[in-house]
Amino acid sequence: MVTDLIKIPCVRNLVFRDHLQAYPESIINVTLHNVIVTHKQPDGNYKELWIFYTNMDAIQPKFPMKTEFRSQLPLSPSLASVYTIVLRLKTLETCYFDVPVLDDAIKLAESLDALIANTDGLTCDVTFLFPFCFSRDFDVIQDGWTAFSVESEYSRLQAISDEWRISDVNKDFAICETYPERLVVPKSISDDYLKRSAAFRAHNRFPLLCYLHKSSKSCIIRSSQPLVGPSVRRCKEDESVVNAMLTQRNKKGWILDTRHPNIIKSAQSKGGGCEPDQYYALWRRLNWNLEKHNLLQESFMKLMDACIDQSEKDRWLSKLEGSNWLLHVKETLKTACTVAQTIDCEETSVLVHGSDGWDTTLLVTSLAQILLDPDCRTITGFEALIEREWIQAGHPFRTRCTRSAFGRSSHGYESPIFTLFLDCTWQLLQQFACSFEFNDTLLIELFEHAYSSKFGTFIFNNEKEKKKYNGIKQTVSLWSYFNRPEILHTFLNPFYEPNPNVLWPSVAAPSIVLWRSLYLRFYENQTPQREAWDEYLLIKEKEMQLRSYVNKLRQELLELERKCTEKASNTTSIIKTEKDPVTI
Amino acid sequence: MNRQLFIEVLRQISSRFDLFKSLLSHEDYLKVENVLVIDRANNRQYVSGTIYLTATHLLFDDPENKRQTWILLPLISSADKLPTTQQGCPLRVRTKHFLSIEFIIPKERDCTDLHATLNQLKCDSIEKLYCFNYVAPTYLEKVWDPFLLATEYMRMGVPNREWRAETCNSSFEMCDTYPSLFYVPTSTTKAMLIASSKFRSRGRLPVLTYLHPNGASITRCSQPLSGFSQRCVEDEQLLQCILKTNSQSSTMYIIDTRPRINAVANRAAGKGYENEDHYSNIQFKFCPIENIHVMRGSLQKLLETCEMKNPSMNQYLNSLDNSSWLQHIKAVLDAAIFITRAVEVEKKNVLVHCSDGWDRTAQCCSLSELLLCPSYRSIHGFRMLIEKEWLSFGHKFGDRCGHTRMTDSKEQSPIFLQFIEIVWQLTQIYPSAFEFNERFLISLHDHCHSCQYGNFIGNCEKDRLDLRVKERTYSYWNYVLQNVNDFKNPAFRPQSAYASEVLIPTLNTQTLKFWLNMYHRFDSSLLPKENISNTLTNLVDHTAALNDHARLLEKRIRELRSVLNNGLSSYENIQNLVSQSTKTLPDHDSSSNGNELPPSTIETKQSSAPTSSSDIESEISDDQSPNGRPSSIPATLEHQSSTEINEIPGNERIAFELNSVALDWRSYRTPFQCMCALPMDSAQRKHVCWRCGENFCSRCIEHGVRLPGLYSNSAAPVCKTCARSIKSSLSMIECSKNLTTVTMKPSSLTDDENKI
Repeated sequence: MVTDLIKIPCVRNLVFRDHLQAYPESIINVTLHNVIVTHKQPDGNYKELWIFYTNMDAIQPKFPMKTEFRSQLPLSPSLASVYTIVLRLKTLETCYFDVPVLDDAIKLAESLDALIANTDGLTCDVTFLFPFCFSRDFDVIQDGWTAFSVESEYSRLQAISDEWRISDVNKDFAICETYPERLVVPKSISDDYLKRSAAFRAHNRFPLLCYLHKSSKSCIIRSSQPLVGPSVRRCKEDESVVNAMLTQRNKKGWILDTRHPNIIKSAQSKGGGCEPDQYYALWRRLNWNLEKHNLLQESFMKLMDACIDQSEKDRWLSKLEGSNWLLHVKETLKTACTVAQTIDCEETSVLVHGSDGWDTTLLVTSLAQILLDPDCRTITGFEALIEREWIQAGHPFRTRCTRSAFGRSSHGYESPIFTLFLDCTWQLLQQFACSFEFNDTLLIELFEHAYSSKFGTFIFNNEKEKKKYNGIKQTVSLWSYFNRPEILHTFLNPFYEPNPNVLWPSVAAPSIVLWRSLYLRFYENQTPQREAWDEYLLIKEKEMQLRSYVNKLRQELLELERKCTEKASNTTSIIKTEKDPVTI
Repeated sequence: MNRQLFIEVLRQISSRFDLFKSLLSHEDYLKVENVLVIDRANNRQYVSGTIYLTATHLLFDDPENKRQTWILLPLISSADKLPTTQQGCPLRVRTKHFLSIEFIIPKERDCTDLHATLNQLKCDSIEKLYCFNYVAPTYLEKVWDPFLLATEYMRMGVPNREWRAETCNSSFEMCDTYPSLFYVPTSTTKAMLIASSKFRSRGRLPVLTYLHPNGASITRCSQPLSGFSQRCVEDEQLLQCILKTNSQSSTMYIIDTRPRINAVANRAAGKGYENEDHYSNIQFKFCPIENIHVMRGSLQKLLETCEMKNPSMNQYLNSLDNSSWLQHIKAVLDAAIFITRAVEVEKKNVLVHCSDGWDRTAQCCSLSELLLCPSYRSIHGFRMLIEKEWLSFGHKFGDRCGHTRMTDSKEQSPIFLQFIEIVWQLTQIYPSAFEFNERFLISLHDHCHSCQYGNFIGNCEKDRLDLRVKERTYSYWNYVLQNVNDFKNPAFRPQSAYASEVLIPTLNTQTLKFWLNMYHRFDSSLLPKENISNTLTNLVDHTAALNDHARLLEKRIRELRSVLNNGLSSYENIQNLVSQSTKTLPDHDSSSNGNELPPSTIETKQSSAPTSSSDIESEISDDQSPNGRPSSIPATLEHQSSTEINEIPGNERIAFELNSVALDWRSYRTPFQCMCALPMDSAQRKHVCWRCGENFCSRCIEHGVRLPGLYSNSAAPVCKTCARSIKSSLSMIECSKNLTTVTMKPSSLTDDENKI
């Protein structure tokens, strides 16, 4: 029971601090889902801050403490005999609580520590997470659960090619647990073939179409690794499935394996591996070394460690370099560019997979689509991309996002793959500031909701789980919340001008920069930036207004001119009907 | 080709061969063909072309990509011959504005010749600097608007009860690197100043440089010649006098901007820092900013980082870190923030010095003043700041930038560049606080090195007076004034707290960024393909054009209405129209009603006329005002319309006016090609033709065209094709109807008003 974990329900008279301000005489209440921090604003009003346990990443120092260390509990620098608890949130914020009584501090810290551990992705009961208790407090304009259906994707596809069909082969998740129930597959392939192909792929993730390029009909396909094994098994049905997807003129494809050859070798000895050249004659293989999820997690932790480091001793840039985060960003973008280049310039299809096909594979396929497809750069298109390429493609959000940059879960499956995707998207956004309909607020919001949310969109590992826990009925979709005008307008990029071209970003080292507005947003004062942004909006609005005003004046002028001419030709009939201004 | 002869010829011909065409028709240039240039971003790509060397420029012409690289000779910092390769003999040219280009010349002799010529062309005397030969485009006049130090001090309220002007340096006898006029406490005596001047390195005694509204001041000087035991009672008295000018604090800061160890080492040479035993009520503080040699080395490493060919992320970050460039930037900014706090928060006087008081001192004083005083954040104010802190107080631009080849290379150092970069870092932290943009900072930096204008040559005011630069050269500030629209920050918001109050940034190491657009500006492939600041400038220009056009349309509608109403000049009717238009444009409404809302800032910024458009703005709002007082302007307009009643603006004319202003502007995506096929990237300034709305490079645009569709009749940028068609059709219409004289009248009137 959660209530047993709460050792102290309320602590009074503490100082609540963040990086920019301190609020004395605050009160903290520990409840079932969150702590509520009541703090006094400069204007004298009290404000409540709700921090959900699902949003808590780690607590420092670690509790429970052995008695002999208790004297070492860090004292707040400003006030003597005050005990500071540092609470790191998944949104990357840091809160400090200066508690005056040692016993309270320990109890509070112990409670929080236990409550945080209680939210671990694998062990916790999903239905107990806050999204299941959250009742909608807004009117839904478009239900996010049904907004992105396979049918709408299919109709889009049909406009390009009619060689595809929707298959119910995965009804009740019969052949693959991590794929959705309805899937788009080649017309020429029967469901039986798909079943056999699934049996030949890790986690039954058989090759699926993710993107068909309009001009060349070359496509991006993703799957998991084939179960080739040390005996180099083959599966003719699998070969037929992938070959059936080569609908473009040259019938050639690349297989892009996101793993290092050495890793493939060791995978092969364990029953996995990569498609042997002799059986996949139409395909050529390419290896691209993208790091595995656990290394990315380490990198992310080091990155945030560097970002929140306030000491002058360590050199910031070398810490940043040591984190390798920007290296991962650069490599990921480069891989995506390679895929885009193959599709657009060489008009050749690409099959992307790693081992499981639900981490780095999705990173590459989704980024390549942003580069190639202008629709993915609109807000709806981007949401559809995330829904299709991440949620329905079975990226295990709950296990991956159970911890962010400061904490460690008991199972160790957490990984910032989705964060990396958002970061890469942001890099594109800052290189092509006018080609995206959205601004970085959307990306930051997505980051926050992926880690901690009152919505059900990111709390399941796959579609099967969503169905099992009846997520659609029990929780609210994030897209329902996003797709309301008052929220949508905060995501709009005022400088957006649809760009039909493929984006070719620079992936050279100097062009890859740190996403300050995400990682440093709680550690630097963002007000001047926000004020400048408001100014940008004003400038844009002013221009739009004037444009339509001038347009209106012009029409009015032409109308008047016409009347003048009439009048000149018909001088006798001057009437005063013109008293009301003509509006066109 | 005989090199000696060539140089002789070059010396004789003046620098008038700026234009490519006139250059080609002339025979006196050195030409090397079939030269290869490696693309810096992509090692395997070469472009081939021809090098032309003229008296003023090195030009690389790449006919295939239609790209020309013009390098102004004074900007070349080094030309090095590299070991010969299979393809030919490489010659690497580096410039002071961070272009690094490697020419591979097929014949070794050509390479040797070019190398030697480039080295010999390097200016060997200050008298021969480019500014003395430079002939500017006709719109620039050789007029120096006088900068008077006294005016700037007057603005700060000096002289006053505490501070007075001192003229004993009027012919630079006391200190030749100081201005002829400086300000000292009223309680000082001449003897005290002379003695103090003798006790300070190079005679640079403590003088006032900034007085804050709260009474605290910043004074600057050089290090005292204290050695281990020397003291000077007058210098101590002078400091006491400075301390007493500010009654709010009983102590003052002395900030030595050197690391303590450097200051101590200087003692051995008979210099050093103030002995706290002798100076009472002093708080002494060291700010560890390294010396010019360390800074030079750091920039060297930074540029090596930039020149790395296709570095991995880690190599790049490592190399950037090893250059320590950003750490030095932070050290200077930290010192400036410290001074700002001392003045604003602690309300204490601050005396700043380093060794000679013209490098680190200039950086720290100018930056803290920029933080303290909002008026320095405007273009004009920033000029004042540079005139005062850098030019008047003798920053050695000649030596630090290495204007002539006679200067010691050990004297060169990127001190001013650091200052410019820190200002840029501040513009990144406070995007709406500064009136100027990045382009301005880059231009300022480049022209300190280019020697095209006389402002930055020599080492101090005295040098420039001796060289008579004001008579013989053009002024950079005049150039800025003429092109001020290029240099304005569209997001500047004068009424925001950041633009009108003291700024005290909290600075983390993470805050500072690498300045891609400065150091990588010639690597267009690395730069963002679309950037917001270009788009914003575009929007602001477009708004200006539309606004101007809308006013003309309003006027025409009024005219036609009165015609339709049979010349009854119905005031009522205008009112109707006006109330309608005010509905659509609430901004006009608010400013006209004289509400508490200030006039919109965009309005004041966007004007393409050389003056602020606020007069026009208020005038226009007046004549729109539905319930406003019957001001004179609607009256005159009424009058005009009644005189024009018989002369209806004809159909042709209206169509012509409508056609002369583009409603939509083409969006700006890079890379794009100008009409002349010149490829453009985001670093280059592009222009939009106000008539057709297309994008053009700066060479394909004319600036002086008056569009008939604009009310203000101010000159607008128009592409050459449109300019021609405007001119021809204008004359046609003038012939056919004798209207222009009448309709032009109010426009020219407002134009005159603007000029006031």
